[in-house]
Amino acid sequence: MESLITIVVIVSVVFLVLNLSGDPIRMMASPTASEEEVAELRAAFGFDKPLVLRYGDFLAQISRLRFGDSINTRQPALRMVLQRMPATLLLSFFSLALATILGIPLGMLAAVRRGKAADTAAVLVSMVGQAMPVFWIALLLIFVFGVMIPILPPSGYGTFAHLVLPGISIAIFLLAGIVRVTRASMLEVLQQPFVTVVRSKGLEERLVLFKHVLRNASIPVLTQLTLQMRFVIGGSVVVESVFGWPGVGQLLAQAAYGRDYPVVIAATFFIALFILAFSMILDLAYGLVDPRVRIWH
Amino acid sequence: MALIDTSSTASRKERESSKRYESPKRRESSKGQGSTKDQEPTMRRGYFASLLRRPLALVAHVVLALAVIAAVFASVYPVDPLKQNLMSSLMPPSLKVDSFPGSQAAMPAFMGTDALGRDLMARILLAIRISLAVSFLAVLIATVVGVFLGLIAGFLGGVLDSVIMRIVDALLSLPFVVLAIAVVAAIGPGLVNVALVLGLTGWVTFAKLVRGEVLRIKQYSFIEAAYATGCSGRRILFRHILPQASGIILVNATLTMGQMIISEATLSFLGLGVPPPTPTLGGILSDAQQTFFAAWWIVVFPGLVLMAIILAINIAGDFLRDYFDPAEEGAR
Repeated sequence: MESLITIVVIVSVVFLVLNLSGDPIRMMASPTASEEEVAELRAAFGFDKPLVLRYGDFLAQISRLRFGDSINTRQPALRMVLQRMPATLLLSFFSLALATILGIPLGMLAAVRRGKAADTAAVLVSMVGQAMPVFWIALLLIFVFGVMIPILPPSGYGTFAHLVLPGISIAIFLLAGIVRVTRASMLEVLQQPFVTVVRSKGLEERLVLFKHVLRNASIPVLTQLTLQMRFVIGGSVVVESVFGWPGVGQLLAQAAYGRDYPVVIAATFFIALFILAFSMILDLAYGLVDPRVRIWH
Repeated sequence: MALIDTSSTASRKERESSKRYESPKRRESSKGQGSTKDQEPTMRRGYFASLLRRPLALVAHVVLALAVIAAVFASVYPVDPLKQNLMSSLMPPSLKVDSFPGSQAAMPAFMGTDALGRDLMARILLAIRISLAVSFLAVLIATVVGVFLGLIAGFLGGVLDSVIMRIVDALLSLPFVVLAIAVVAAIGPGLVNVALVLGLTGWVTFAKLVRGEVLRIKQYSFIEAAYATGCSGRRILFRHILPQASGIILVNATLTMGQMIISEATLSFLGLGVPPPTPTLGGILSDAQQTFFAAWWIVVFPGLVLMAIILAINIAGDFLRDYFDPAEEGAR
């Protein structure tokens, strides 16, 4: 229910902005079009009705997943977006997995070695990583691994090798956030008395860290992952454009450039849907690590 | 709000209110004394003094000062950032004065030239100005809109509060860039438009933050006292609550500024920002893709500048947060 309202609000905001900011038909039609032609086009797209009616129609259409045809390619916007969804999903999950697999151990290391060189390095790296725009990381990676040491393809789609550079570009930014949160959360848990108890009962330090501390520290990390999904998608819009990755992000950027409203709305809708679905799944994962929030049984 | 409150919390409330009645300076000094870490019995250190104790934050301030100086005096730099000269296309960085032939001024091309022979240094200086101006304007719009909506949402509550917070939560679940792109698609690129787009999509964090602050501050007895002395709701909101929240608003504005600079660069990079020939950091990097194989400097320098500015803003923002809330220091 919450998510439904969220989607409706997002779609409504996009609709309102698109409709209140000038006449889309005027921009669509060629500059030489006559008044009759413009009026015809307006009727064809339903733009001759008042705003409130159009908004009602719009919601009715969206609820049946009818987004209309792309203004530029005349293909159904829904199909264009859905065709590109798998590429975006692949890239998103790859970079998220990469960042998590590297970020959690690095954050743990920094917390355990608090104040030592490894900690300082991790904090510095995460600060710098968050200050680097994703597209610049992408350009530098292409420059190093595509031009200087040409071992990876600088653009394209298809094989695993194509996935590596775009994946790393997004992962570096994510890594920074995950390291920061893991470190802070671990430090907090390490101060709690139960850690002293498990240690004093003679448990191996490795088990203390992985079995007790990490598990207790993982809720903020999971929350961070939910928040990060927004940055993954935001980053993929840019990264897909740089690497020519045929995903929804690239489509959105192109559609915005060409003022292709149906495609912009459809892409925004599915991006929102994906992010909400992802956070709902992660909400369930809370129960896996923390029995206190379990709702089943 | 109950005006006659003689419950067990009264004594605590009284203490709090007596603290709150003092002038802001005094109040902060008492806060400093209460902290165990801060041994000095005098007032909280001045801004500059606490800056000196944090070398990294000091460096960040210097970098920011340099960026502002670069932005303000960009047009003083004697090389025209827009003048094309194909004779000096893609010259590498050099310190020699006659490093690019046919140049307008006797200046070395410190950062080299781009594919059209334009001096990269001059272009980056101007781009810093555009970037800072757009981001500052965007932060200003976001702050005004967000603070206002957050204030009324937190103060009035009710249906208005629910509606505003619904919108905030919905917009927060979408990536900032995606939202900005969708809005740019509607109103088109351009300097003022980009600032508008970023401002009108960036207000949500302010609204959420300020609403929380208002709900917290509303609880204090000094607000109750203000009611008792007959202050109007508007006066309480703007003269009593808003000043209390100003520190956290300033911190959020600083951190948002960094995000705005990234977003502006991203939009320009995608061709949705300030249109050429006006140089932007994102636009220069976008052009750099075409001459990748021949010119590393066009990729490296604008990115370094961008990173230095954002890094400095983030560090300065963290410093400000600690400055306004010393109790949080080290807890991060």
